[in-house]
Amino acid sequence: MARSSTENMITLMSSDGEEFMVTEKVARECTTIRNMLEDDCVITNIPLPNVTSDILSMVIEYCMEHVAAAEKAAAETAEKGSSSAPAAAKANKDLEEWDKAFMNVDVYTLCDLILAANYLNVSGLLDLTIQTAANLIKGKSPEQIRKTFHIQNDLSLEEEEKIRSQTPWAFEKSE
Amino acid sequence: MAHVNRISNLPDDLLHCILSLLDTQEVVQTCILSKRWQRLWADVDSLELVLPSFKTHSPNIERRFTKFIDELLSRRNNSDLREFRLFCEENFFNVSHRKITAWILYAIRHKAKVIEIDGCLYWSLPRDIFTSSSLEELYLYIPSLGKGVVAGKVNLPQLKKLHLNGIIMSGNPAILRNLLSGCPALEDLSLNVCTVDLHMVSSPQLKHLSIVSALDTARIESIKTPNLVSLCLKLSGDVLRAANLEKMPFLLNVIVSVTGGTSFDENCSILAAFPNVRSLELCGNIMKDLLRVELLKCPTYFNLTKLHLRDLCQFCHGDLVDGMLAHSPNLEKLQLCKTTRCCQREDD
Repeated sequence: MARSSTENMITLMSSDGEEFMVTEKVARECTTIRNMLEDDCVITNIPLPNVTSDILSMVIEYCMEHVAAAEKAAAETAEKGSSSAPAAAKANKDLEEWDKAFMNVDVYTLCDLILAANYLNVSGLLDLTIQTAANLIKGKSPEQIRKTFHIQNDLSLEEEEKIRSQTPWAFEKSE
Repeated sequence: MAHVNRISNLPDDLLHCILSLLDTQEVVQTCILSKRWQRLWADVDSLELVLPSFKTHSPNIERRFTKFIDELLSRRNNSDLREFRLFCEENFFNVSHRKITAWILYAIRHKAKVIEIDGCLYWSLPRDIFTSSSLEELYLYIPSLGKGVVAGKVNLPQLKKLHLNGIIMSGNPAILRNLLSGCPALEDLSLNVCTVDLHMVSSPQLKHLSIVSALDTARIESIKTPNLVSLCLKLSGDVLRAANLEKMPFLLNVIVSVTGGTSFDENCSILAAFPNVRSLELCGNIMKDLLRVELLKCPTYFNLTKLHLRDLCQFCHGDLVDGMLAHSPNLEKLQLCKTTRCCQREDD
């Protein structure tokens, strides 16, 4: 599919004032922005006071990759009349690999991405980041989870003991 | 750094999303991470309770599993549930049926939208599960549906997906009929290795139907599902031999596999029911017999682009393969089986 030369460009502005020019199609990956555009189709400049430039650039990178993958699949379907199953499966796998590599970030960035994906309503990115966070918790003891996410334990030793003794049923498995 | 401890700063709903992807035991254990986490688990709306995960080292796992769930349900906040999944597998035997019933009733009372139950020994589902007004998806891997369905008390106005596995409900055609007429919104029905009287399958709004390995089953006489989009039938010739499928103009993806059993009746009508099919897979060792009966009556599949004839050999059944090709003028992809047993036998 040829990209139309008249495609609308939209400027997104991060909380620290950096501007990002993206195509309307990429911007529309964010449901929050899509809704703004539908309310008022002449918007070309959107301030995003809740997202910093480093996180916004990552969200845009994610959206661009997913738009490109969808366009490629659509072009192949148009060319051949129907998409061939093995090619589609490979494209899906490639995109999954890309997602996986994209999630190779520290836990702070991960949490910022969760907040940004939620605020901008990018459902694919929200699912991906939430799943990544869950995978980091899975199979770990409470102490290991605290360490992974740098959670400061503000419970005193007595308080922790009290919770454990009140809910022995919850901790049987690990003891 | 300003970053420190960011995960605990996420709003509750996002933390609940993360927790809902974990085994419920792991969810509960987050209560001692810090004060912020102390009661977060209690509002998680998706419970996944897995008995085998208690196996690691333990005598009395069933007793501990039971205690865990009892405590969990009594201490969680009284908020509604979205998903309730219970996996007991073979150990259902040692978990009290009264308890299981009480847990399922808890899920129904808390308006669970998705219920999945996996366990294999004989016990009866509480009747209330078939009159839940909030249930949207039901997945059962159990031997019996209980008396409620037999008595015809099925009213599941929101149910869209029903997947039954290994359920024994033979000898009574009313069971399936009651089930289908009590689910007016059902879109997706899957009967997997069920012993069920399939005599007549009728569901006007159904979009996806899959019936696989129905055992010891009465013959299908008719399937009336005019709005079907996808169909998968993997059955024995005995079940399908006289089947009459009514026209399904929207049906796009079809798999029919017939294995074993006797020859087909002259007036059976299966392949003629989906004139607009796009992807068609025909397989099983007696598919050739079905084709011999039906090929001449088949419509021309103008929309068919993908055809997979898995158990037909282009040498032994060349006439059938040619016949199917003649009915498929716009085919783009044909898959035939490379080596078939019939040819190998001749080689020997």
